[in-house]
Amino acid sequence: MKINYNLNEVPITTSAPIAKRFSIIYIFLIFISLFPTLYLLFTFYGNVLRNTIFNIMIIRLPIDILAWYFCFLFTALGTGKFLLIILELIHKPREGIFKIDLKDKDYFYFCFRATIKKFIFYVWVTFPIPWISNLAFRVCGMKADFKSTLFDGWLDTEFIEFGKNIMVGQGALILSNIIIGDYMLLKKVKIGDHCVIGGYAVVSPGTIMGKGSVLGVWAMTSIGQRVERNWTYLGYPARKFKNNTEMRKVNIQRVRRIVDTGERVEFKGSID
Amino acid sequence: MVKKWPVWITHNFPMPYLDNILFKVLGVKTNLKNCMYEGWIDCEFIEFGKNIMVGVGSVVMGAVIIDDHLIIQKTIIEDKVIIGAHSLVAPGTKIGKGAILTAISSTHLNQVLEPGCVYKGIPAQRIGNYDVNEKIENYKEIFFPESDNLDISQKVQVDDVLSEEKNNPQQMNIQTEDDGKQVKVKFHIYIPVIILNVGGSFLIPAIPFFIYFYEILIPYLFSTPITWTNFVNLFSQFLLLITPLVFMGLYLLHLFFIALFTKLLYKWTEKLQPSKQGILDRDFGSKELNFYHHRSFLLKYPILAFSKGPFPWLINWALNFIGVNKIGKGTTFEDQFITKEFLTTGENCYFGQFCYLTNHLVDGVFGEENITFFGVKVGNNSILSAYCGGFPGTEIGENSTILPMSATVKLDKLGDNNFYAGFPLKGISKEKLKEYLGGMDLED
Repeated sequence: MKINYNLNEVPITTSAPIAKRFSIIYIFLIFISLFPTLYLLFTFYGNVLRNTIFNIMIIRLPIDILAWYFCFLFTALGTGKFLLIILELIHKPREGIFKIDLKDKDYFYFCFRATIKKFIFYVWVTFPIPWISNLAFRVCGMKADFKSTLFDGWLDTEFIEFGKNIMVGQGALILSNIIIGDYMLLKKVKIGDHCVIGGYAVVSPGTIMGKGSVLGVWAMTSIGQRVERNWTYLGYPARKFKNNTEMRKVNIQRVRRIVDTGERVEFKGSID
Repeated sequence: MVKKWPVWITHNFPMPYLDNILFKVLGVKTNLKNCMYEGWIDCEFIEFGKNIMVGVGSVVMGAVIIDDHLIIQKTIIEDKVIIGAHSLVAPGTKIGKGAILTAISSTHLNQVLEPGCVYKGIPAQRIGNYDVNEKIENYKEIFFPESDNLDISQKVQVDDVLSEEKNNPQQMNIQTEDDGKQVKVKFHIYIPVIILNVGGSFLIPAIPFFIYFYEILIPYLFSTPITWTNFVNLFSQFLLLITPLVFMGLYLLHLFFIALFTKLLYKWTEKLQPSKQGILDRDFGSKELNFYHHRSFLLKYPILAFSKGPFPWLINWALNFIGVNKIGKGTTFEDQFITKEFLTTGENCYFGQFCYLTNHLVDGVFGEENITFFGVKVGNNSILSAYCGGFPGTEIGENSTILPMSATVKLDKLGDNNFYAGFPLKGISKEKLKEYLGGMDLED
């Protein structure tokens, strides 16, 4: 069998298909996490307001609403974590390449875990204080500090090691699993301190990003690529562009490009 | 666009399998085993085979708007096709059995991807064949070489790459976009704001909700033993009919209060430190930057609530009402990150799926970076297709069209009545456009 194209530029999709049978877990998780919240909601009128709406305690409502929201989030996280611990005891997650087939044990349990985590992160990331999702990342066993901005992108939820002060751009993807034809690859991603990942960039499985490295907009790393420390990478697959240390004294240009003619004019002022 | 609404709802509901069922119900030829809930798929003029995988953030289109034409072409995707993350399938594409479109690539209109081949690039070009019978051992050798486990020097290198050693602050000039918030996260400011904005906006709708629920709904509908005659009763029927309307009205009221509170808070920050375009030093502790972060945080929740909720078209009103952006009449936003401040659009503009107009860029590495903070201006009747980008300071003229998967560089100025494509953006000739459209003439 010959592979007649560069496997480093392999086709990529992500987040293995979630099988029909796991939908039941979804319903279970939603039900469990809504239960205490709804209980609090429907006892609020009776217990706190004492069956009349014209009660001074109505002022408590804004804080209570947030409390209900948190109640929902934490029940979801707690139940999810509990299930994850059980799953981990049954089958330990490991890196490798697996066949996409529910008979394959690694793949089966991967789908199982992905289903649970998908729900948890869906509800956590959409919370109005987005940094809170870093807590969910920590609970689910990934290193993440509270100063990183991880909420704008789409991150896989396993086998990722974050450093400190990472910035993930809008719509960026950090993948620790991809699908290659009939197989699924699972490999650990490591991201060093102060890394910046640009908007809509894709980080493939096995990528190791050095400290202070930058991945540009629309760039994509190949599988197992090492992004060297303090370098900026651009393109698909990502190539070295500039060393960050050389660019210390560059002034920020204020040059406007007029696309129709190709001219460059100085840009002054602002845009209304 | 009636179909779009249910798709929107299910797409934002955390239940991936629901999408598949919905597409089936809407009459799209598809198979329930497909995995297609992570991208965006138009709900008409698309035919799917079996076992298709659509990656995260991919767009499969059945229709595209170019200039003042709406081009509808049937997209056909056969069995076992894999579409990579952040890819775009243009209308009229025919993807053969088992073909693979890799990540960050796009097809042009009426392109035919041959069965069993791998395609890459913008527009997609063939780079090889995919061997279905590939053995798992081959892959193992490539991606998990044994040397990985044995070679100590390599491990040292990895440690070196990730090490904690202090590095000098550096600066560079490459565009990466991001919300610049980090390092000092001011929870003591954010939490009261959230309590006022989220909690407070529920307070006033909650009073009629409790009155309606406990004083009308429960005594008249639920407390009496539920029997058939009860439901035939005219008043019960009236109650059943009116209940969704009441809940919808209360939800709209809630949205209105979100916008109102945001507007007041925004005005207040404006008084303390007027929002200004320019290049900011990303120096934590400077007042200018702090207020930039506060405003960005403040606007995050309303935009999320409006654009991801069940009434996404209200976002135009909300942005105009809060007073951060000027959105012209008839402008449409699809699912995307919407610019928070200083966006000016003309009338009848169209912003496609995952189109990103940003007003801020982070230039530089940690330590000495700047934030470029300029607005974006879009003229009347301009069309930005799926995955188009406009970086800070972009000015787009009237009646221009930007083809899918292209982006400007910061501070670009585009002319009127023209077509643009590529990254960085360039004007394209009529012939090139014809090529992109797969041999179609716009005049027809």
